[in-house]
Amino acid sequence: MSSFDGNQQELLRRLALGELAPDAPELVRAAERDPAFRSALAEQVALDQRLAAAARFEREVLAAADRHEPSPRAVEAADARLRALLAGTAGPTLRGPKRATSWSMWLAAAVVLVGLAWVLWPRPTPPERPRYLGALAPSDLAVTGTKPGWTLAWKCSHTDATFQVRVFDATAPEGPALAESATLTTPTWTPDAAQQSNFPPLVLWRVEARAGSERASSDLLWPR
Amino acid sequence: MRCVPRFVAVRNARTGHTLDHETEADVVQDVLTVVWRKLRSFAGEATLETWVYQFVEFEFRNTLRRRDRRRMASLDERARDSEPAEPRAVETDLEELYLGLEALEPIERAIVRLRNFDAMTFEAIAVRIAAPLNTVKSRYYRGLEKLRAVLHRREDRA
Repeated sequence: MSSFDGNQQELLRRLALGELAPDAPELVRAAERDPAFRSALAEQVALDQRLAAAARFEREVLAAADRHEPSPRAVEAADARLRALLAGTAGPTLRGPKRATSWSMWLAAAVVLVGLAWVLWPRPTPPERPRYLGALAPSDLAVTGTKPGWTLAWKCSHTDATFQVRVFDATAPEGPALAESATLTTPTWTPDAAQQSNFPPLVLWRVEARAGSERASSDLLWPR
Repeated sequence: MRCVPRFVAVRNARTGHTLDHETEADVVQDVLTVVWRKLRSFAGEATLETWVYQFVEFEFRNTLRRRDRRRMASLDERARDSEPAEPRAVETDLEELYLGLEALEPIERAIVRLRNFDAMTFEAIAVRIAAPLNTVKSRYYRGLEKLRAVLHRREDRA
């Protein structure tokens, strides 16, 4: 719970949103009157600076990548992993001693890269296409898309997994679930019509998979 | 996907080539595996390169952590005492920030990243994620508040 009054909170919010500069007169006056506010102000500025530094670091890495040659070992590892992924055989056994390359391997790599470029090339997102803003941590679970009628489908590499789907208001995902499935054994679920009629304009689907003691989840943000 | 070995190479160079070629190649493979799993989740909120880079950063840091744990476990007390501390202040700060971002709700993390890392306006973010402008702003502000709290907690623990 914030200890600041409404005016102070609004000043901090406008600072965070970039609507006020840190040296704006109203901020300076408020900081002079209240040491706690001055401290909060300093924290906000420090956080902005940390985010800016991280963003700068990331941009520098991305920019430097264009003129940086990776090691031949890394390039070979990438080609090998891509070939294995396309063939569905990727695994830790791929890590091994350097292997000789041949023209056929290069040809296969070229085919792989063309295929990947086709899959990965950014395209305009159709309105009905689901948007995913999920966790960074890798998971065996992936939302693959939706079908007409608010059906959610997904993929999971565990053949013995069970699932549960919860639907939240995307603007308040910490709130109660708007809809909740029973425990499912198949990777698809359709909320009933009454549930669907209560969905807000932007919903967050959360699929949780369980297999024994393992658990993974994936989120899908879907504009209605 | 040729960008992945390049990203990893640059990332490694920025850390003073702390990983050898073999480990660097392993990171490349791990990143590609994660990217492959997540391919269908890429919906164009960020550029493809930025999206892929998140996985590079994540796997790279994981690898550094694993290596540091192994190193600490294998060093005897005398070696530990004599080994100079690595100059990793900037790295540590970045790591804290990335871990803090991971603690946010997905939508908050996405908005904070789009705003700060992709330098997008709130209006552009609203269009990109198909959400009202005020929702984007409030989620952004809430995300920053949470991030600040998470960083506070982590620093207090440290």
